[in-house]
Amino acid sequence: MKWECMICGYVYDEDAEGVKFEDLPDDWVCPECGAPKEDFEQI
Amino acid sequence: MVCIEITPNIYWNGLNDRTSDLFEGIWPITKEGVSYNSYIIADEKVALIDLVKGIKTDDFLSQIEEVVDPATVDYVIINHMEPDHTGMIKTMQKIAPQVTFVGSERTKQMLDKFYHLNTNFKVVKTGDTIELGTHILEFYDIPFVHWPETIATYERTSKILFPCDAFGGYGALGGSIFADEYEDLDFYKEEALRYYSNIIAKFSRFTLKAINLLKELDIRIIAPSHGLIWRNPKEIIDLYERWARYGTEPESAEEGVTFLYASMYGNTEKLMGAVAQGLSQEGIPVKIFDVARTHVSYILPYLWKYRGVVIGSPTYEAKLFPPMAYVLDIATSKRVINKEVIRFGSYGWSGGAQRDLEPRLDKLKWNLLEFFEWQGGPTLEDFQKGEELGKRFAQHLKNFN
Repeated sequence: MKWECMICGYVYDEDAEGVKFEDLPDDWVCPECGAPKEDFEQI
Repeated sequence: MVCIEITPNIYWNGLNDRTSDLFEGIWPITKEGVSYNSYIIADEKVALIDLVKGIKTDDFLSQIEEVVDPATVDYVIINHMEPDHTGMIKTMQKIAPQVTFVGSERTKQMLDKFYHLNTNFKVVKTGDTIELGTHILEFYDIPFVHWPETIATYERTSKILFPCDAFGGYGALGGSIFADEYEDLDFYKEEALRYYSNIIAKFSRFTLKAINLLKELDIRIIAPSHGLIWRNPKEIIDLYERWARYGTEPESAEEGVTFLYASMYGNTEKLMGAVAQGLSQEGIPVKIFDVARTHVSYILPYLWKYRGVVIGSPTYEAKLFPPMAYVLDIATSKRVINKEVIRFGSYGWSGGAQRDLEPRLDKLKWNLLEFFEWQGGPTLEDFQKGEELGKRFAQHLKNFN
C-alpha cells in the first residue's frame, strides 16, 4: 500500500520501505517536508 | 513608478501589475492587481533582493538605474525561486555577468531546472551572512512557506525582514508602498487573506514555524514581495499568525458560515433562502456564494476562516453539481479541513449527489451533521424544514466550543 503526504506529495511505499505506514511511530514525519502522519492519506 | 527609499540606501524597486488576469495562472487579479516587490541595497556591494515577473523589463531596469548602474550589481538574493520573482534572471545575468545569485541549496537545484543557467551561485543556510558594507544580510531557511526552497533575508542595520511571499497579499500598490500611510487598509487586509488562503494556507504549519523562528529577530519593517510594506510589522505578523492557526487549531476558526450553493432551475436556490434565513435569525454571520458564478479564489478565504459550511447542491446526472465538486476539490487540495457541515438539495429522478458527496467529505474531514433532499420543486413543508435546519445548525455552531 502507498500513502501520500497531502502537503508536499511525497509517497510512502510500504512495500519498498518494508514497514506498514500504520506501524510507523506517532512522531514519524514526512522525510520531504516534515509534515506529521495525520497529513498522509492512503492512495 | 520610481524607486522609493525605505531606509538610507535601501530602496523599493517593484512593479505594479494591473494587466494580468490570473496569478499563478489560476487566481483572478483582474480587478485587484498585484505588485512584485524587489529591493535594492546600495552599499559598497550592491544587492538586489528578489526580482520580479518577466514583464516591464525596461521599467524594472530603469528603476535600478535611478540608484545604481545595473551592470554593477554584486548579488541577487533569491528568497523564493517561483518565476514571479525570478522572471528577470536571464536579463540580469546578461547585464551583470559577474553577479552572484544567493539562495538555498534547493533553490540552486530548482533554478537550474527552470532556467538552465550556468550562474555564479552562493548557497546559504540559516545563520549565514553576507556583508555589503554597513549593511549585513542574514539568511533564514523557512522551507515550505510556500515552496521547499524558500528562505527569508534579514538586514541587520536597518532591521528589515525580506520574507518574499510570506506576509504578502494581492492588490496593486496605490499611492503609497507603506501600510501605515493608508487611511483604510480593509482592501489590502482582505486581499492578504485571499492571498493567504489561495497560496499559503496549505502550509500553515510551516508558516507558524517560520513566524516562531523570525520572532527572535528585532524586526522594524517587513518588506514582502507582494503587497504593502509594514513599518508596524506586528500588524501583519498577527494577521498571518491568526490565519495560520485556523489551519493547525481548528477550534480557533471563527463562528460563521460559508454558504455554498448552486441551482439549475431555482429549486435548490429557493431552499437556500430558507436555510440562510434560519441561520441569520440566530445571528450567525453568513457569506453566500453561488459556486457556478464565483471563482473559488474568493470563496477560499471564507472557507478558511469560518467553522461552518452549508452545501446547497442539486444532483446533476446522478452526481454532485459539477461546480460544487470543483470547489470541494480545490478545498481538498488546499487542506481546508475540519469543518462542520449541513447539506440540502433537489434531484430530478434518482438522486446521487449525496452518495458522491460523502467520500469527498471524508477526505476533507468535514463533519456532516444533517442533510435533506427532495424531488423537483420544494413544498411548503420543505421550506419549513430548511429554515429549521438552518436554525439547528446555527445553534450547533454557537455551542461548538
